[in-house]
Amino acid sequence: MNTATSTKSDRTDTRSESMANVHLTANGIHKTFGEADAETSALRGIDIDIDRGDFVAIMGPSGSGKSTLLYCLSGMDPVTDGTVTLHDGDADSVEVTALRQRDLAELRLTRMGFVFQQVHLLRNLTILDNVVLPGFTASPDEREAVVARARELLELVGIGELADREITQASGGQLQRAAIARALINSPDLVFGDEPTGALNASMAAEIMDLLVQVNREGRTVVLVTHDVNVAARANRVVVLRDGEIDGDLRRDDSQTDDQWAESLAGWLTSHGT
Amino acid sequence: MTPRRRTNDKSAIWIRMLRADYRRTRTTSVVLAGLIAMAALLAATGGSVLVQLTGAIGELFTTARTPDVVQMHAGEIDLAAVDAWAEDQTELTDWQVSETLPIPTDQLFLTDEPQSGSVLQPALVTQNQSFDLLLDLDDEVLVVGPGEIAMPLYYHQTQGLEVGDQVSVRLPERRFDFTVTSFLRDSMMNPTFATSKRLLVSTEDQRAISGLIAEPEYLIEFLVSDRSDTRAVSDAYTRTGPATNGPLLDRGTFFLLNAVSHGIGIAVLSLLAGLMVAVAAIALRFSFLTAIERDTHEIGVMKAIGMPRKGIRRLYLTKYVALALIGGVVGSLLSIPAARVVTASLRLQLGDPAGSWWLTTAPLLGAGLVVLAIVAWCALMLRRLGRISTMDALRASTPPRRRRRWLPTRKPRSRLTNSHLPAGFWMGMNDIRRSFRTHRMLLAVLTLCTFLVLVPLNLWTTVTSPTFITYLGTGVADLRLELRSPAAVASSSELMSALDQDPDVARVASFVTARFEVANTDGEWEQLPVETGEHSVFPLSYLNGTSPDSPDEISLSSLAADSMGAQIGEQITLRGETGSRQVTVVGVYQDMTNGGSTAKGMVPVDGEPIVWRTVLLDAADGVKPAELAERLSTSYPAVQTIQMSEFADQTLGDLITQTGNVAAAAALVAVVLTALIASMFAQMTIARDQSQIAIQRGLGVSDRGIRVQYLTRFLVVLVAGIGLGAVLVATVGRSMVASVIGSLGAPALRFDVEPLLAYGAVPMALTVTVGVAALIATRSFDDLGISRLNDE
Ligand SMILES: Nc1ncnc2c1ncn2[C@@H]1O[C@H](COP(=O)(O)OP(=O)(O)OP(=O)(O)O)[C@@H](O)[C@H]1O
Ligand SMILES: [Mg+2]
Repeated sequence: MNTATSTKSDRTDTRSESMANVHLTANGIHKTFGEADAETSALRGIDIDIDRGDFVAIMGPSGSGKSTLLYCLSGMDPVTDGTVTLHDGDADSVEVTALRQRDLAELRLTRMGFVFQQVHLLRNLTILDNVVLPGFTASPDEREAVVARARELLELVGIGELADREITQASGGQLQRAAIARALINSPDLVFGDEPTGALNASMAAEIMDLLVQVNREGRTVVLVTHDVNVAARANRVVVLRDGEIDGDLRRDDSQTDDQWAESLAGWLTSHGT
Repeated sequence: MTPRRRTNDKSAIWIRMLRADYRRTRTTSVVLAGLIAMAALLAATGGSVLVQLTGAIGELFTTARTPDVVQMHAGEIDLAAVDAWAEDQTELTDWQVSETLPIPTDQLFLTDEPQSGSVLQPALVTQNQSFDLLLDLDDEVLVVGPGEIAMPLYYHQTQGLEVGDQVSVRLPERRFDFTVTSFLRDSMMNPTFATSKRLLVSTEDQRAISGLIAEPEYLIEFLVSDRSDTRAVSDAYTRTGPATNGPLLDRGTFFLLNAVSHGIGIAVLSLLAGLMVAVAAIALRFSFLTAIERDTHEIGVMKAIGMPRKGIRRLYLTKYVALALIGGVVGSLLSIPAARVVTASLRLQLGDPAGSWWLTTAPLLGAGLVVLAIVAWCALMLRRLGRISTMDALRASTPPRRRRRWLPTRKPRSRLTNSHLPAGFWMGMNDIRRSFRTHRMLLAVLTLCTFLVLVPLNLWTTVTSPTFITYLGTGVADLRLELRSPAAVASSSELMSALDQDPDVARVASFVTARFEVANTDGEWEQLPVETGEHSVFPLSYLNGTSPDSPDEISLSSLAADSMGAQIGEQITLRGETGSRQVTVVGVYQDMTNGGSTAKGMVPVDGEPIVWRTVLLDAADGVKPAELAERLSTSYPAVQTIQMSEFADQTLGDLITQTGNVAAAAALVAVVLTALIASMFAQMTIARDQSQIAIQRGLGVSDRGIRVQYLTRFLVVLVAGIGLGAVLVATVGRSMVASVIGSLGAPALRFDVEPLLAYGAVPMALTVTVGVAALIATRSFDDLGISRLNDE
């Protein structure tokens, strides 16, 4: 298994100072779909370091490979080429791309959380059961603690009173909150979101974004795919994809105010024709 | 059936969609076609047997010139009176009186084996002149010379008699030996049911024997010019005919007798075909609902862009019609060899019917009916399509909100949160509860399969169990000796005194069975073999009452009691050669031997016709019954020595073997059916649950964890199915079997269940079948990633 040390030695020293704080590293990821004669190249060599505790937004035109990148980073989809490494503070790093299915599942269960564009709740479970399920799966012996935490999370996302409802008895926005609660049930330090606000109206989207910002403030790393400049402006860093390659990588200066950051972001996107 | 090619584009879409559908549901399609093929095979075979049967009977009746009306008559006959009566009837074209010489079964020997104990009533006849002809196996009119005999096919089929074998009639006065030169087809008495059998000899031999037979019987036979007058002639004869001591039968009855003995096969085939159609229909419906659920979105899109509803329906119908047709063709083809096997005995007994177009069309008709039923069922199901609204369909891929209710509703009864079960197990149970309708079909099929295996299996363990002799009308002892041949009978007193002194024998009792006559409920006299002797030494178990204790008492087998309408405490009249006597019925027991009609008594038998003698004995302590049997049979080769443990096999061997075969076949069918349905069900549920699986995988639930959910679902339904099946077996199955076995003489039959087999091996086999099917279906969820799901 690759360790942080070996990764470090591959890279140039310019980055080494921040290495201790890196959470996730992607190295030359390629992803192609389909058979040899009808191939689509969704990702063509992505290199990216994501810092622990950072809030990263991924933007780009439709079909540029945003979702694919997210699935490759989290190990849901195998990469065609390249490596993804998860760093764990001082402990050994884990090369995600070299793990077996079973270990990947374990990794996603305990250390990552997901919020999808469509809510993807299980249809035969109540809202609370949906939140509780990954918790029970990860820690079968601490059911009471899991249930208590699930109720707490549902309160936190503002739908505590809907816990016992069927998922057919809640609105899209409420369900998306439940999905966020579910993503947080195992206290992951890395949360992925693929346009979680895409299907919601502006005010609901803003509320969900507030939640994610809060999640990030608690110290979790958040990686969020979005089309929306206003959503992206809530992040500290914006990575722009185009045709499966990184087209731009913008970081917010500590000196910038919210408005200045949003403005410079919008300016960059306009100048690059997005 | 392909959609009209109005534009190439359109039909190309249909074909693409059909192909895509096939690719996604290959297992399901193959299983559905297989089920339909099985149903079609059974129906086509049934159709084939039906026409071969009716065709063959018709031809046999034509060639043999079967009489339209036959009066049987026992006793003196005035031939002139019959002629006089017949000449007055304008409807008749011909008539004849044929003399038959009944031979007591203990006087008829097939290669030195006496036929005593046989329920048949053999009689010697000569060939008729112009009609009611006895035919050989090439349907030629038989001619036999002196010393030759043509035997009914029955003896070839059931007793292995061959051409060239010796048959003898050993009358007390004289012995006649015959060589079998041929087997005969008897248009009236062919069927196994007909207990009268005609044995054809030459006129010379007939004349020689005739003087020695006390009571010849006569067949008074008529041919009518117009068959519609048959009834009038029978009625007229019953009213005014001269010799009427016996039943009157007509051509219709003979046809029915011939048809029924083979018709049972047709009935079983049609029953099974119906069952298979039902299974196929359940499976189709399930596959259809799954497809609809999966395709709802596509259907919605098609509707939204204005494709006609008819076209959508046609797409599905095309698929199901194609499956039904493939199944129908495969089934019809397989029915050709299958029908040849099934009709082998029929063709031997009745002859090959000449080719007629019915022979080819009937099986096709049978298969066609199945295809039609399936297509009609599909058309019915497809009406459901019209009910899917465009909006519903389009919304189907976004969170389901069909029955949205804002007000808090009843809390779901069971929740993962409150449960203490392992999460995977709970999820499986929850899925069953939430979508019970889908699991219902698997439950039904598994219940059915359990029933299908267990009923014949329990029957088989019952007939092979040591306690089965309870139903065979014999006391329980270690050994049973049968003295049937004259040599054995002659040695009986010597044998008895030897046994009395034998130190290896603990107890012994001897019995003499003599033939008496009793009146049945119709007032006709029937033969009844009465076993007399010391019944209290080896008592048998009685349904009601006890063993006879004095010469005035008698116990009856339940069939005998039924046919006489006799109750315990009533008096019946036993008519014998030496006169009649009144006896009181004191007990009723079960007996499946000798046609089921027997009696136990203590009446004197001197001067009565003795059918056979039997001896029951127990071995002394420390003596192995098998060794004693061995010794006795070497000392007395003429005596049949049977260990009681083998008695059932000896007397009902045919029934027991057949039960074993049926049990094995049923088990095989049930396992194949279970495997087919379970794998189809597994494939379809997983196809249907794609999104649910993908979500769980995305969240990090391991494949093993998901597999646990599916195994739970399958195995819980399996356990429920086996339980339900077992309950059905104990109730419905038992009474079904009791009614069949009851008619054979054992109305109070109880299943003798072998728990290890019935409740161990069978559930195990079904579990393994279902488990393997589920594992294969859940072998790999690899292509069920959440990334695919988002593309939809
Ligand atoms: N399962 C798949 N099979 C084949 N091609 C795929 C698959 N998933 C994605 N692609 C292709 O890969 C490319 C990138 O797709 P991706 O879903 O990552 O885009 P995206 O940036 O998320 O777009 P959007 O903003 O529309 O969601 C596209 O060209 C797409 O057609
Ligand atoms: Mg996307």
